[in-house]
Amino acid sequence: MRQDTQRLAEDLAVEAALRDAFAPLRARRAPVGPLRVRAAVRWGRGSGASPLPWTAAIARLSELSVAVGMSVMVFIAAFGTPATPAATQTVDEASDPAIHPVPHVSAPVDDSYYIRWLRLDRYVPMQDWLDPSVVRISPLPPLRRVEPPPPAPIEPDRPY
Amino acid sequence: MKRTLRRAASLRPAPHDDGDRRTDRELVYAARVGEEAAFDLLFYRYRDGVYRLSLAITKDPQAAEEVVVDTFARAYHALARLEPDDTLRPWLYRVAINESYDHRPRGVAQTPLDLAEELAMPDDGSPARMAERAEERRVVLAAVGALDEKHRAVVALHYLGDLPLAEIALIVGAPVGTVKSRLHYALRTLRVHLAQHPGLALEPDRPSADMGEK
Repeated sequence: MRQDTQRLAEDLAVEAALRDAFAPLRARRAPVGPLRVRAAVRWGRGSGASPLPWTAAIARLSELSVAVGMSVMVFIAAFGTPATPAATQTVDEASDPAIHPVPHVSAPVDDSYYIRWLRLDRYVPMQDWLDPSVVRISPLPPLRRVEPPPPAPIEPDRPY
Repeated sequence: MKRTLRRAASLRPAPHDDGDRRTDRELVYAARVGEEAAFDLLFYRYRDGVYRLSLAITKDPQAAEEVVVDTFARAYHALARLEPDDTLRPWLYRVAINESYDHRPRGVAQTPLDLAEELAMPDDGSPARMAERAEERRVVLAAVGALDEKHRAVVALHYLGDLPLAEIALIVGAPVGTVKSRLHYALRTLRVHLAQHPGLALEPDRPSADMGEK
């Protein structure tokens, strides 16, 4: 009997502590007005369904496709063999620009446009072939050995 | 004990003081035919209760505001099929509880300490007494927060919302006996938990310095 009374007293004490602990919360007021609810209703919140379900589905699908693409790329990069150049390559020496470079002195595109703008487009833009200094030089004739003239005989001293 | 009961009675919210004598059912029917003022009345009637309940669960004022908005937005959309027998409150609170669990901030420590700190009430005692009471509230709220969801919901509805057991049963969707059992289990757990804090002074007839008993 005494135990029951004590337990009841403890329960009451716990209840009082609970009500006391929740007391500050009871003083709170919701800082929300009905206009906010109406705005939420207008924007489709609370209806349980997205206002634009197809948009969400398409967005989700595009995210998924990007994720799959990135995964495939990473997988191939991790396990694929790197591309190696062919062991032998034939080089056309006659037309290889590394062997026979073709000189260009054209100004960069921006500069030529700038010059054209300065000249109000009255002149034809400069072409490579107009510049004699960059015309491709034809092969020189083979060198000939020039024999030096024989030395003149030393003449005796002549009077001035 | 009388003092405790009197204090509990003083905490009980007043009945609808919005000046409109219409019942929830009548207001729902009026809102259904397009009377916006009727829906506003329902909103003003229950927004604070929904907000407090959500605040007790989420411990986040912004999340609680969102819960209020979402709950009443759901109610607006459900007006056509709502058939409140007497009061709309169980339906609203049930939605609010579900929304609160959805809006709970994730990744943040769910300690009721912040709530107790924020909700410090002005006390007519000394600063030391105020600090002591704040610490007591902190311990009690921490103990409530340690309960599992269904017990915590019953405790909050009964001791924060002052709802009768029958209405709590409607809200949680369980028989009244189950609600009693959950409440009993929660009290027993809290009693064991709070007994570990001897400084809490859980004497049965604890004198109360606040709550308007002057």
